[in-house]
Amino acid sequence: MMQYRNIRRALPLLAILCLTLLPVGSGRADPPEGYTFLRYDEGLRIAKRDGKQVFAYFGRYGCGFCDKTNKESFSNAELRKRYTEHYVLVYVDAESGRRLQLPSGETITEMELGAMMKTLVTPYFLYLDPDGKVLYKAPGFQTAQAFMDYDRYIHGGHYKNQTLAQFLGK
Amino acid sequence: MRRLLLCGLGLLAASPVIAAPWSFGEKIMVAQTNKARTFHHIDSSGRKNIAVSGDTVGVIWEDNRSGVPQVYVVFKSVQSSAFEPEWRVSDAPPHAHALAAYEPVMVALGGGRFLIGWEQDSSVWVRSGGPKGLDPAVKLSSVEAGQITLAAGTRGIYAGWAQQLGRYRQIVTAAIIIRGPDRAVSAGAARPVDPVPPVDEQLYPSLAVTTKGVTVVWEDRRHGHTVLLTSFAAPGKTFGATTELNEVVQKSATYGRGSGVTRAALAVFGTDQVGAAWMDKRGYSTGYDIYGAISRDGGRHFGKNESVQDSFGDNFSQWHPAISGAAGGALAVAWDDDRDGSSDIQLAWKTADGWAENLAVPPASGAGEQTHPAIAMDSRGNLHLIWLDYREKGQPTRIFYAMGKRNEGK
Repeated sequence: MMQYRNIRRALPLLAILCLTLLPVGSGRADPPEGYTFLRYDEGLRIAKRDGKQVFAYFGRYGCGFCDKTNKESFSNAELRKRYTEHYVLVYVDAESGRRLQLPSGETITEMELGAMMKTLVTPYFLYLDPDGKVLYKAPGFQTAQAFMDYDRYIHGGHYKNQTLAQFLGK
Repeated sequence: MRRLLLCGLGLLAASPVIAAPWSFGEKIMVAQTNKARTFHHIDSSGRKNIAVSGDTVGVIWEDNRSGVPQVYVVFKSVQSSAFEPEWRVSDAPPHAHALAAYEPVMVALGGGRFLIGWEQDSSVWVRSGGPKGLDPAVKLSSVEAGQITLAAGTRGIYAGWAQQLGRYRQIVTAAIIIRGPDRAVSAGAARPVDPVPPVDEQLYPSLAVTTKGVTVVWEDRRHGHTVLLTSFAAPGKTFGATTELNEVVQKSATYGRGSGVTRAALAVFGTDQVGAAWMDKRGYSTGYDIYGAISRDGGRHFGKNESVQDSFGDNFSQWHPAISGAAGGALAVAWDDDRDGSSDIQLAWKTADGWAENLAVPPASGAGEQTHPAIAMDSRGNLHLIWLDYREKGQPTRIFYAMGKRNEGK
Protein backbone atom coordinates (compact mmCIF):
# COMPACT_ATOMS: atom_id res chain seq x y z
CA MET A 1 0.00 0.00 0.00
CA MET A 2 2.84 2.30 0.98
CA GLN A 3 4.65 1.52 -2.25
CA TYR A 4 1.47 2.23 -4.26
CA ARG A 5 1.12 5.61 -2.53
CA ASN A 6 4.75 6.44 -3.31
CA ILE A 7 4.24 5.50 -6.94
CA ARG A 8 1.10 7.65 -7.08
CA ARG A 9 3.03 10.56 -5.55
CA ALA A 10 5.81 10.08 -8.07
CA LEU A 11 3.50 9.93 -11.10
CA PRO A 12 3.25 13.71 -11.69
CA LEU A 13 7.03 13.96 -11.42
CA LEU A 14 7.47 11.06 -13.85
CA ALA A 15 5.01 12.67 -16.26
CA ILE A 16 6.93 15.95 -16.15
CA LEU A 17 10.21 14.03 -16.63
CA CYS A 18 8.80 12.17 -19.64
CA LEU A 19 7.54 15.40 -21.19
CA THR A 20 10.91 17.02 -20.61
CA LEU A 21 12.74 14.12 -22.26
CA LEU A 22 10.50 14.13 -25.34
CA PRO A 23 12.08 15.84 -28.32
CA VAL A 24 10.87 19.45 -28.39
CA GLY A 25 8.02 19.82 -30.86
CA SER A 26 7.82 16.09 -31.49
CA GLY A 27 5.32 15.38 -34.25
CA ARG A 28 4.83 19.08 -34.97
CA ALA A 29 6.96 19.33 -38.09
CA ASP A 30 10.05 20.68 -36.49
CA PRO A 31 13.37 19.40 -37.93
CA PRO A 32 13.45 15.63 -38.52
CA GLU A 33 14.79 13.44 -35.77
CA GLY A 34 18.30 12.03 -36.08
CA TYR A 35 19.74 15.12 -37.77
CA THR A 36 21.60 18.04 -36.27
CA PHE A 37 20.03 21.19 -37.64
CA LEU A 38 21.56 24.52 -36.61
CA ARG A 39 20.29 28.10 -36.63
CA TYR A 40 20.60 29.67 -40.08
CA ASP A 41 23.22 32.26 -39.09
CA GLU A 42 25.26 29.81 -37.04
CA GLY A 43 25.18 27.30 -39.88
CA LEU A 44 26.34 29.85 -42.44
CA ARG A 45 29.28 30.83 -40.25
CA ILE A 46 30.31 27.19 -39.89
CA ALA A 47 29.84 26.53 -43.60
CA LYS A 48 32.07 29.47 -44.52
CA ARG A 49 34.70 28.40 -42.01
CA ASP A 50 34.70 24.79 -43.17
CA GLY A 51 34.02 25.40 -46.88
CA LYS A 52 30.91 23.21 -46.79
CA GLN A 53 27.66 23.61 -48.66
CA VAL A 54 24.47 24.36 -46.72
CA PHE A 55 21.14 22.57 -46.79
CA ALA A 56 18.43 24.91 -45.47
CA TYR A 57 15.03 23.59 -44.41
CA PHE A 58 12.28 26.22 -44.10
CA GLY A 59 9.49 24.63 -42.06
CA ARG A 60 6.43 25.73 -40.19
CA TYR A 61 4.98 24.74 -36.86
CA GLY A 62 2.23 22.21 -37.55
CA CYS A 63 3.05 22.00 -41.28
CA GLY A 64 1.59 18.83 -42.78
CA PHE A 65 3.94 18.45 -45.72
CA CYS A 66 6.92 19.05 -43.43
CA ASP A 67 5.65 16.25 -41.23
CA LYS A 68 5.21 14.01 -44.28
CA THR A 69 8.71 14.82 -45.53
CA ASN A 70 10.21 14.12 -42.13
CA LYS A 71 8.46 10.78 -41.77
CA GLU A 72 8.65 9.48 -45.34
CA SER A 73 11.90 10.95 -46.65
CA PHE A 74 14.25 12.05 -43.89
CA SER A 75 13.76 8.68 -42.16
CA ASN A 76 15.87 7.13 -44.94
CA ALA A 77 19.19 6.02 -43.41
CA GLU A 78 21.24 6.59 -46.58
CA LEU A 79 19.79 10.09 -46.93
CA ARG A 80 20.66 10.84 -43.33
CA LYS A 81 24.25 9.67 -43.88
CA ARG A 82 24.74 11.67 -47.07
CA TYR A 83 23.19 14.92 -45.86
CA THR A 84 24.94 14.80 -42.50
CA GLU A 85 28.30 14.28 -44.22
CA HIS A 86 27.88 16.65 -47.16
CA TYR A 87 26.13 19.70 -45.71
CA VAL A 88 25.83 22.03 -42.81
CA LEU A 89 22.14 21.58 -41.97
CA VAL A 90 20.10 24.63 -40.95
CA TYR A 91 16.45 24.89 -39.99
CA VAL A 92 14.27 28.01 -40.19
CA ASP A 93 10.85 28.24 -38.52
CA ALA A 94 9.25 30.40 -41.20
CA GLU A 95 6.75 32.00 -38.80
CA SER A 96 9.18 32.62 -35.97
CA GLY A 97 10.24 35.96 -34.55
CA ARG A 98 13.67 34.58 -33.61
CA ARG A 99 16.36 36.95 -34.82
CA LEU A 100 19.25 36.05 -37.09
CA GLN A 101 22.24 38.04 -38.19
CA LEU A 102 22.89 37.61 -41.90
CA PRO A 103 26.37 37.72 -43.47
CA SER A 104 25.48 41.24 -44.71
CA GLY A 105 25.22 42.37 -41.08
CA GLU A 106 21.44 42.75 -41.26
CA THR A 107 19.46 41.40 -38.31
CA ILE A 108 16.05 39.99 -39.25
CA THR A 109 13.61 37.45 -37.92
CA GLU A 110 13.34 33.92 -39.26
CA MET A 111 10.00 34.86 -40.79
CA GLU A 112 11.55 37.82 -42.59
CA LEU A 113 14.27 35.53 -43.92
CA GLY A 114 11.51 33.39 -45.42
CA ALA A 115 9.92 36.51 -46.98
CA MET A 116 13.30 37.64 -48.30
CA MET A 117 13.93 34.21 -49.85
CA LYS A 118 10.34 34.20 -51.17
CA THR A 119 9.63 30.81 -49.66
CA LEU A 120 6.05 30.46 -50.87
CA VAL A 121 5.32 27.17 -49.19
CA THR A 122 6.60 24.96 -46.43
CA PRO A 123 8.59 22.86 -46.51
CA TYR A 124 10.98 24.75 -48.73
CA PHE A 125 14.52 23.48 -49.22
CA LEU A 126 17.51 25.56 -50.30
CA TYR A 127 20.99 24.45 -51.21
CA LEU A 128 23.57 27.17 -50.59
CA ASP A 129 27.28 27.50 -51.27
CA PRO A 130 29.63 28.24 -48.35
CA ASP A 131 29.11 32.00 -48.93
CA GLY A 132 25.34 31.69 -48.65
CA LYS A 133 24.58 31.97 -52.39
CA VAL A 134 21.52 29.96 -53.41
CA LEU A 135 22.42 27.06 -55.71
CA TYR A 136 19.08 25.30 -55.96
CA LYS A 137 15.55 25.59 -54.55
CA ALA A 138 13.18 22.67 -53.95
CA PRO A 139 9.73 23.76 -52.76
CA GLY A 140 7.23 21.40 -51.17
CA PHE A 141 7.29 17.71 -50.31
CA GLN A 142 10.28 15.81 -51.74
CA THR A 143 10.81 12.06 -51.84
CA ALA A 144 13.97 10.46 -50.49
CA GLN A 145 14.95 9.69 -54.09
CA ALA A 146 14.54 13.35 -55.07
CA PHE A 147 16.76 14.39 -52.17
CA MET A 148 19.36 11.81 -53.30
CA ASP A 149 19.24 13.28 -56.83
CA TYR A 150 19.63 16.83 -55.54
CA ASP A 151 22.58 15.71 -53.46
CA ARG A 152 24.37 14.17 -56.45
CA TYR A 153 23.63 17.33 -58.45
CA ILE A 154 24.72 19.84 -55.81
CA HIS A 155 27.45 18.02 -53.89
CA GLY A 156 28.85 16.63 -57.13
CA GLY A 157 29.18 20.18 -58.50
CA HIS A 158 27.03 19.48 -61.57
CA TYR A 159 24.97 22.61 -60.91
CA LYS A 160 27.91 24.61 -62.28
CA ASN A 161 27.31 23.59 -65.90
CA GLN A 162 23.97 21.77 -66.06
CA THR A 163 20.38 22.28 -65.08
CA LEU A 164 18.93 19.63 -62.84
CA ALA A 165 16.82 18.33 -65.71
CA GLN A 166 19.90 18.00 -67.92
CA PHE A 167 21.78 16.27 -65.13
CA LEU A 168 18.99 13.79 -64.61
CA GLY A 169 18.70 13.19 -68.36
CA LYS A 170 15.13 14.38 -68.55
CA MET B 1 -0.58 39.85 -69.00
CA ARG B 2 -1.48 41.51 -65.74
CA ARG B 3 0.48 44.62 -66.76
CA LEU B 4 -1.37 44.76 -70.08
CA LEU B 5 -4.66 44.46 -68.25
CA LEU B 6 -3.65 47.18 -65.84
CA CYS B 7 -2.52 49.34 -68.77
CA GLY B 8 -5.95 48.93 -70.32
CA LEU B 9 -7.63 49.68 -67.05
CA GLY B 10 -5.33 52.69 -66.68
CA LEU B 11 -6.54 54.08 -70.00
CA LEU B 12 -10.10 53.63 -68.87
CA ALA B 13 -9.31 55.32 -65.59
CA ALA B 14 -7.87 58.30 -67.47
CA SER B 15 -11.29 59.12 -68.87
CA PRO B 16 -13.10 61.88 -66.98
CA VAL B 17 -16.08 59.57 -66.43
CA ILE B 18 -14.33 56.68 -64.67
CA ALA B 19 -12.19 58.06 -61.85
CA ALA B 20 -9.69 56.09 -59.80
CA PRO B 21 -10.96 55.13 -56.34
CA TRP B 22 -7.99 56.80 -54.61
CA SER B 23 -5.78 59.77 -55.46
CA PHE B 24 -2.27 59.56 -54.01
CA GLY B 25 0.12 62.45 -53.68
CA GLU B 26 3.83 62.35 -54.47
CA LYS B 27 5.92 60.06 -52.31
CA ILE B 28 7.99 61.77 -49.62
CA MET B 29 11.29 60.47 -48.25
CA VAL B 30 11.15 59.40 -44.62
CA ALA B 31 14.60 57.85 -44.18
CA GLN B 32 17.46 56.87 -46.43
CA THR B 33 21.13 56.05 -46.26
CA ASN B 34 24.09 55.61 -48.54
CA LYS B 35 26.01 53.90 -45.78
CA ALA B 36 26.86 50.32 -46.72
CA ARG B 37 25.42 47.51 -44.63
CA THR B 38 22.70 49.78 -43.21
CA PHE B 39 19.17 48.39 -43.26
CA HIS B 40 15.84 49.99 -42.36
CA HIS B 41 13.05 47.85 -40.94
CA ILE B 42 9.32 48.55 -40.65
CA ASP B 43 8.31 45.66 -38.44
CA SER B 44 6.17 45.58 -35.35
CA SER B 45 3.53 43.52 -33.63
CA GLY B 46 0.30 44.67 -35.29
CA ARG B 47 2.29 46.75 -37.84
CA LYS B 48 1.62 50.09 -36.13
CA ASN B 49 4.59 52.06 -37.49
CA ILE B 50 2.65 55.17 -38.53
CA ALA B 51 0.02 57.24 -36.74
CA VAL B 52 -1.81 60.52 -37.28
CA SER B 53 -2.50 62.69 -34.23
CA GLY B 54 -4.48 65.83 -34.98
CA ASP B 55 -2.62 67.41 -37.85
CA THR B 56 0.65 65.56 -37.22
CA VAL B 57 1.93 62.40 -38.91
CA GLY B 58 4.45 60.27 -37.01
CA VAL B 59 6.57 57.44 -38.45
CA ILE B 60 8.74 55.04 -36.47
CA TRP B 61 11.24 52.43 -37.62
CA GLU B 62 14.50 50.66 -36.73
CA ASP B 63 17.83 50.83 -38.53
CA ASN B 64 21.43 49.90 -37.80
CA ARG B 65 23.25 53.00 -39.06
CA SER B 66 25.18 53.23 -35.78
CA GLY B 67 26.25 49.61 -36.03
CA VAL B 68 23.56 48.49 -33.59
CA PRO B 69 19.82 48.42 -34.42
CA GLN B 70 18.16 51.50 -32.90
CA VAL B 71 14.71 53.08 -33.13
CA TYR B 72 14.02 56.47 -34.72
CA VAL B 73 10.89 58.61 -35.13
CA VAL B 74 10.04 61.53 -37.40
CA PHE B 75 7.07 63.89 -37.58
CA LYS B 76 5.51 66.25 -40.09
CA SER B 77 2.27 68.14 -40.41
CA VAL B 78 -0.20 66.52 -42.77
CA GLN B 79 0.18 69.42 -45.22
CA SER B 80 3.99 69.52 -45.15
CA SER B 81 6.00 68.10 -48.04
CA ALA B 82 8.90 66.99 -45.84
CA PHE B 83 9.52 65.35 -42.48
CA GLU B 84 11.31 67.21 -39.71
CA PRO B 85 14.67 65.95 -38.38
CA GLU B 86 14.37 62.62 -36.64
CA TRP B 87 14.60 61.76 -32.96
CA ARG B 88 16.38 58.70 -31.64
CA VAL B 89 13.85 56.88 -29.45
CA SER B 90 15.85 54.00 -27.99
CA ASP B 91 18.18 56.02 -25.74
CA ALA B 92 16.77 55.26 -22.30
CA PRO B 93 18.65 52.39 -20.66
CA PRO B 94 22.31 52.82 -19.65
CA HIS B 95 24.60 52.13 -22.63
CA ALA B 96 21.53 52.24 -24.87
CA HIS B 97 23.67 52.84 -27.95
CA ALA B 98 25.08 49.32 -27.53
CA LEU B 99 21.74 47.63 -26.83
CA ALA B 100 19.84 46.55 -29.93
CA ALA B 101 16.30 47.94 -30.21
CA TYR B 102 13.60 46.37 -32.36
CA GLU B 103 9.98 46.32 -33.52
CA PRO B 104 8.81 49.84 -32.61
CA VAL B 105 5.14 50.88 -32.60
CA MET B 106 3.31 54.15 -32.19
CA VAL B 107 -0.26 55.24 -31.54
CA ALA B 108 -1.93 58.66 -31.68
CA LEU B 109 -2.92 60.32 -28.40
CA GLY B 110 -4.54 63.37 -29.98
CA GLY B 111 -3.39 66.96 -30.20
CA GLY B 112 -0.23 66.09 -32.09
CA ARG B 113 1.08 63.72 -29.42
CA PHE B 114 1.92 60.03 -29.64
CA LEU B 115 2.76 57.04 -27.48
CA ILE B 116 5.75 55.06 -28.69
CA GLY B 117 6.76 51.51 -27.76
CA TRP B 118 9.76 49.35 -28.60
CA GLU B 119 11.86 46.39 -27.48
CA GLN B 120 15.37 46.88 -26.13
CA ASP B 121 17.65 44.87 -23.88
CA SER B 122 15.08 42.05 -23.72
CA SER B 123 12.47 44.44 -22.26
CA VAL B 124 9.61 46.52 -23.62
CA TRP B 125 9.60 50.31 -23.21
CA VAL B 126 7.18 53.18 -23.81
CA ARG B 127 7.44 56.95 -23.93
CA SER B 128 5.22 59.74 -25.18
CA GLY B 129 6.27 62.54 -27.46
CA GLY B 130 5.68 64.64 -30.52
CA PRO B 131 7.41 67.05 -32.87
CA LYS B 132 8.84 69.10 -29.97
CA GLY B 133 10.57 66.15 -28.32
CA LEU B 134 10.23 62.92 -26.41
CA ASP B 135 9.28 62.48 -22.76
CA PRO B 136 11.12 60.11 -20.38
CA ALA B 137 10.94 56.40 -21.20
CA VAL B 138 9.46 53.78 -18.93
CA LYS B 139 10.27 50.07 -18.88
CA LEU B 140 7.06 48.03 -18.83
CA SER B 141 8.37 44.51 -18.29
CA SER B 142 10.14 43.03 -15.32
CA VAL B 143 11.01 39.78 -17.12
CA GLU B 144 12.29 39.02 -20.63
CA ALA B 145 9.80 40.52 -23.08
CA GLY B 146 9.29 41.70 -26.65
CA GLN B 147 6.74 42.12 -29.47
CA ILE B 148 5.09 45.18 -27.94
CA THR B 149 1.91 46.61 -29.45
CA LEU B 150 -0.19 49.65 -28.50
CA ALA B 151 -3.78 50.87 -28.92
CA ALA B 152 -5.68 53.92 -27.75
CA GLY B 153 -9.37 54.78 -27.60
CA THR B 154 -11.91 56.66 -25.54
CA ARG B 155 -11.69 53.89 -22.93
CA GLY B 156 -7.97 54.38 -22.45
CA ILE B 157 -4.52 53.50 -23.71
CA TYR B 158 -3.19 49.95 -23.60
CA ALA B 159 0.05 48.12 -24.27
CA GLY B 160 0.34 44.43 -24.99
CA TRP B 161 3.46 42.31 -25.28
CA ALA B 162 4.86 38.76 -25.11
CA GLN B 163 6.81 37.98 -21.95
CA GLN B 164 8.58 34.89 -20.71
CA LEU B 165 6.68 32.71 -18.28
CA GLY B 166 8.64 29.56 -17.62
CA ARG B 167 9.30 27.75 -20.85
CA TYR B 168 6.93 29.80 -23.03
CA ARG B 169 6.01 33.37 -23.80
CA GLN B 170 2.68 34.67 -22.55
CA ILE B 171 0.70 37.63 -23.90
CA VAL B 172 -0.07 40.29 -21.29
CA THR B 173 -1.62 43.75 -21.44
CA ALA B 174 -1.41 46.79 -19.20
CA ALA B 175 -3.25 50.09 -19.06
CA ILE B 176 -1.00 53.07 -19.76
CA ILE B 177 -1.56 56.28 -17.82
CA ILE B 178 -0.09 59.65 -18.80
CA ARG B 179 -0.39 62.29 -16.09
CA GLY B 180 0.68 65.77 -15.12
CA PRO B 181 2.39 68.66 -16.85
CA ASP B 182 5.52 66.59 -17.43
CA ARG B 183 3.37 63.87 -19.01
CA ALA B 184 4.78 61.12 -16.82
CA VAL B 185 3.97 57.69 -18.22
CA SER B 186 3.08 54.84 -15.89
CA ALA B 187 1.54 51.43 -16.41
CA GLY B 188 -1.02 49.39 -14.54
CA ALA B 189 -0.38 45.79 -13.62
CA ALA B 190 0.41 43.47 -16.52
CA ARG B 191 -2.46 41.00 -16.87
CA PRO B 192 -2.53 37.84 -18.99
CA VAL B 193 -5.03 37.86 -21.84
CA ASP B 194 -5.75 34.18 -21.35
CA PRO B 195 -6.88 32.97 -17.91
CA VAL B 196 -5.09 29.66 -18.59
CA PRO B 197 -1.27 29.63 -18.26
CA PRO B 198 0.48 28.99 -21.59
CA VAL B 199 1.23 25.40 -22.57
CA ASP B 200 3.06 26.55 -25.71
CA GLU B 201 4.15 29.82 -27.26
CA GLN B 202 1.89 32.90 -27.36
CA LEU B 203 3.25 35.46 -29.82
CA TYR B 204 2.74 38.75 -31.68
CA PRO B 205 -0.32 40.44 -30.09
CA SER B 206 -2.41 43.22 -31.57
CA LEU B 207 -4.92 45.33 -29.61
CA ALA B 208 -8.06 47.36 -30.29
CA VAL B 209 -9.85 49.65 -27.83
CA THR B 210 -13.55 50.43 -28.32
CA THR B 211 -16.17 51.89 -25.98
CA LYS B 212 -17.14 48.28 -25.18
CA GLY B 213 -13.68 47.22 -24.00
CA VAL B 214 -10.30 45.90 -25.10
CA THR B 215 -9.80 43.16 -27.70
CA VAL B 216 -6.56 41.31 -28.23
CA VAL B 217 -5.52 38.83 -30.90
CA TRP B 218 -2.34 36.76 -30.81
CA GLU B 219 -0.62 33.74 -32.34
CA ASP B 220 -1.03 30.68 -30.16
CA ARG B 221 0.72 27.33 -30.63
CA ARG B 222 -1.13 25.29 -27.98
CA HIS B 223 -2.76 22.99 -30.53
CA GLY B 224 0.49 21.93 -32.21
CA HIS B 225 0.07 24.50 -34.96
CA THR B 226 -0.49 28.23 -34.93
CA VAL B 227 -4.02 29.56 -34.43
CA LEU B 228 -5.11 33.14 -33.92
CA LEU B 229 -6.90 33.54 -30.61
CA THR B 230 -8.86 36.55 -29.44
CA SER B 231 -9.91 37.58 -25.99
CA PHE B 232 -12.02 40.47 -24.77
CA ALA B 233 -12.10 42.47 -21.55
CA ALA B 234 -14.99 44.80 -20.70
CA PRO B 235 -14.01 47.99 -18.85
CA GLY B 236 -12.72 47.14 -15.39
CA LYS B 237 -12.92 43.40 -16.05
CA THR B 238 -10.30 40.75 -16.71
CA PHE B 239 -9.99 39.02 -20.08
CA GLY B 240 -12.46 36.22 -20.65
CA ALA B 241 -12.31 32.92 -22.47
CA THR B 242 -10.38 32.72 -25.73
CA THR B 243 -12.01 32.38 -29.15
CA GLU B 244 -10.43 31.18 -32.38
CA LEU B 245 -10.33 33.92 -35.01
CA ASN B 246 -9.18 31.96 -38.05
CA GLU B 247 -10.99 29.00 -39.53
CA VAL B 248 -8.59 26.07 -39.29
CA VAL B 249 -8.11 24.00 -42.43
CA GLN B 250 -6.89 20.48 -41.74
CA LYS B 251 -5.19 19.51 -44.99
CA SER B 252 -4.29 15.96 -44.06
CA ALA B 253 -5.72 13.41 -41.67
CA THR B 254 -2.25 11.91 -41.25
CA TYR B 255 0.27 14.71 -41.34
CA GLY B 256 0.55 18.06 -39.62
CA ARG B 257 -1.97 19.80 -37.43
CA GLY B 258 -3.41 22.66 -39.46
CA SER B 259 -2.88 25.42 -41.96
CA GLY B 260 -0.58 28.28 -41.03
CA VAL B 261 -1.66 31.71 -39.89
CA THR B 262 0.52 34.51 -38.71
CA ARG B 263 0.96 38.25 -37.97
CA ALA B 264 -2.58 39.39 -37.22
CA ALA B 265 -3.39 43.08 -36.90
CA LEU B 266 -6.47 44.89 -35.54
CA ALA B 267 -8.00 48.31 -36.20
CA VAL B 268 -11.09 50.12 -34.95
CA PHE B 269 -13.41 51.73 -37.51
CA GLY B 270 -16.84 53.31 -37.61
CA THR B 271 -18.73 53.03 -34.34
CA ASP B 272 -17.19 50.30 -32.22
CA GLN B 273 -16.36 48.02 -35.14
CA VAL B 274 -13.05 46.16 -35.26
CA GLY B 275 -11.32 44.83 -38.35
CA ALA B 276 -8.72 42.05 -38.28
CA ALA B 277 -6.30 41.09 -41.05
CA TRP B 278 -3.69 38.35 -41.13
CA MET B 279 -1.57 36.06 -43.33
CA ASP B 280 -3.24 32.70 -43.90
CA LYS B 281 -1.85 29.59 -45.58
CA ARG B 282 -5.14 27.74 -46.07
CA GLY B 283 -4.49 27.69 -49.85
CA TYR B 284 -2.54 24.75 -51.15
CA SER B 285 0.38 26.03 -53.18
CA THR B 286 0.71 29.79 -53.31
CA GLY B 287 1.92 30.74 -49.88
CA TYR B 288 0.10 33.16 -47.63
CA ASP B 289 -3.13 34.91 -48.57
CA ILE B 290 -4.60 37.90 -46.74
CA TYR B 291 -7.70 37.07 -44.77
CA GLY B 292 -9.77 39.23 -42.48
CA ALA B 293 -12.76 39.28 -40.15
CA ILE B 294 -15.01 42.00 -38.75
CA SER B 295 -16.45 42.52 -35.29
CA ARG B 296 -19.66 44.56 -35.13
CA ASP B 297 -19.99 44.45 -31.33
CA GLY B 298 -16.94 46.32 -30.16
CA GLY B 299 -14.50 43.44 -30.49
CA ARG B 300 -16.32 40.85 -28.41
CA HIS B 301 -17.02 38.53 -31.35
CA PHE B 302 -15.79 38.34 -34.92
CA GLY B 303 -17.72 37.29 -38.02
CA LYS B 304 -16.73 34.76 -40.66
CA ASN B 305 -13.33 34.84 -42.33
CA GLU B 306 -13.18 36.89 -45.54
CA SER B 307 -10.62 36.89 -48.34
CA VAL B 308 -9.23 40.43 -48.45
CA GLN B 309 -7.17 40.03 -51.61
CA ASP B 310 -8.78 39.69 -55.01
CA SER B 311 -8.38 36.75 -57.38
CA PHE B 312 -5.48 38.43 -59.24
CA GLY B 313 -3.41 37.79 -56.14
CA ASP B 314 -4.35 34.17 -55.73
CA ASN B 315 -1.26 32.77 -57.43
CA PHE B 316 1.16 34.85 -55.37
CA SER B 317 2.21 34.97 -51.78
CA GLN B 318 1.08 37.97 -49.77
CA TRP B 319 3.16 39.39 -46.92
CA HIS B 320 3.03 42.01 -44.14
CA PRO B 321 -0.66 42.98 -43.80
CA ALA B 322 -1.39 46.30 -42.08
CA ILE B 323 -4.88 47.53 -41.24
CA SER B 324 -6.35 50.88 -40.27
CA GLY B 325 -9.81 52.40 -39.96
CA ALA B 326 -11.54 55.76 -39.55
CA ALA B 327 -14.41 56.90 -37.38
CA GLY B 328 -16.38 57.65 -40.53
CA GLY B 329 -16.52 53.91 -41.30
CA ALA B 330 -13.60 53.42 -43.70
CA LEU B 331 -11.40 50.36 -43.26
CA ALA B 332 -8.32 49.56 -45.37
CA VAL B 333 -5.71 46.80 -45.52
CA ALA B 334 -2.30 47.10 -47.22
CA TRP B 335 0.30 44.39 -47.89
CA ASP B 336 2.98 43.50 -50.42
CA ASP B 337 2.98 40.88 -53.15
CA ASP B 338 4.68 40.04 -56.44
CA ARG B 339 1.67 39.75 -58.76
CA ASP B 340 3.03 42.37 -61.17
CA GLY B 341 6.51 40.89 -61.44
CA SER B 342 8.13 42.59 -58.46
CA SER B 343 6.95 43.42 -55.00
CA ASP B 344 4.41 46.26 -54.84
CA ILE B 345 2.17 47.65 -52.12
CA GLN B 346 -1.40 46.50 -52.66
CA LEU B 347 -4.44 48.10 -51.05
CA ALA B 348 -7.94 46.78 -50.37
CA TRP B 349 -10.76 48.58 -48.61
CA LYS B 350 -14.06 47.48 -47.18
CA THR B 351 -17.11 48.02 -49.34
CA ALA B 352 -20.77 47.29 -48.81
CA ASP B 353 -20.29 44.05 -50.76
CA GLY B 354 -17.05 42.84 -49.21
CA TRP B 355 -13.57 43.98 -50.20
CA ALA B 356 -12.66 46.16 -53.19
CA GLU B 357 -10.56 44.89 -56.07
CA ASN B 358 -6.97 45.42 -55.04
CA LEU B 359 -5.12 48.58 -56.02
CA ALA B 360 -1.37 48.65 -56.60
CA VAL B 361 -0.71 51.95 -54.85
CA PRO B 362 0.74 54.21 -57.59
CA PRO B 363 3.64 55.77 -55.66
CA ALA B 364 4.44 52.38 -54.04
CA SER B 365 4.46 50.15 -57.10
CA GLY B 366 6.44 49.63 -60.27
CA ALA B 367 10.16 48.95 -60.72
CA GLY B 368 12.12 47.79 -57.71
CA GLU B 369 10.86 46.25 -54.51
CA GLN B 370 8.24 47.99 -52.37
CA THR B 371 7.54 46.03 -49.20
CA HIS B 372 6.55 46.18 -45.51
CA PRO B 373 3.69 48.71 -45.55
CA ALA B 374 2.16 50.35 -42.51
CA ILE B 375 -0.95 52.51 -42.73
CA ALA B 376 -2.97 54.98 -40.67
CA MET B 377 -6.26 56.62 -41.55
CA ASP B 378 -6.94 60.10 -40.23
CA SER B 379 -10.26 61.47 -39.01
CA ARG B 380 -11.13 62.57 -42.56
CA GLY B 381 -10.58 59.06 -43.94
CA ASN B 382 -7.32 59.95 -45.70
CA LEU B 383 -4.85 57.09 -45.90
CA HIS B 384 -1.29 57.66 -44.72
CA LEU B 385 1.10 54.98 -45.97
CA ILE B 386 4.76 54.17 -45.43
CA TRP B 387 6.76 51.39 -47.03
CA LEU B 388 10.26 50.04 -47.43
CA ASP B 389 11.82 50.59 -50.83
CA TYR B 390 14.90 49.09 -52.40
CA ARG B 391 15.94 48.96 -55.99
CA GLU B 392 17.30 45.44 -55.71
CA LYS B 393 18.48 43.01 -53.08
CA GLY B 394 21.59 44.19 -51.28
CA GLN B 395 21.07 47.83 -52.22
CA PRO B 396 20.50 50.47 -49.51
CA THR B 397 16.96 50.61 -48.20
CA ARG B 398 14.73 53.69 -48.00
CA ILE B 399 11.43 54.45 -46.30
CA PHE B 400 8.83 56.44 -48.22
CA TYR B 401 5.52 58.03 -47.26
CA ALA B 402 2.47 58.95 -49.35
CA MET B 403 -1.02 60.14 -48.56
CA GLY B 404 -4.12 58.96 -50.40
CA LYS B 405 -7.52 60.60 -50.61
CA ARG B 406 -10.60 58.55 -51.32
CA ASN B 407 -12.48 59.79 -54.38
CA GLU B 408 -16.15 60.18 -53.61
CA GLY B 409 -18.44 57.47 -54.84
CA LYS B 410 -15.67 55.04 -55.78
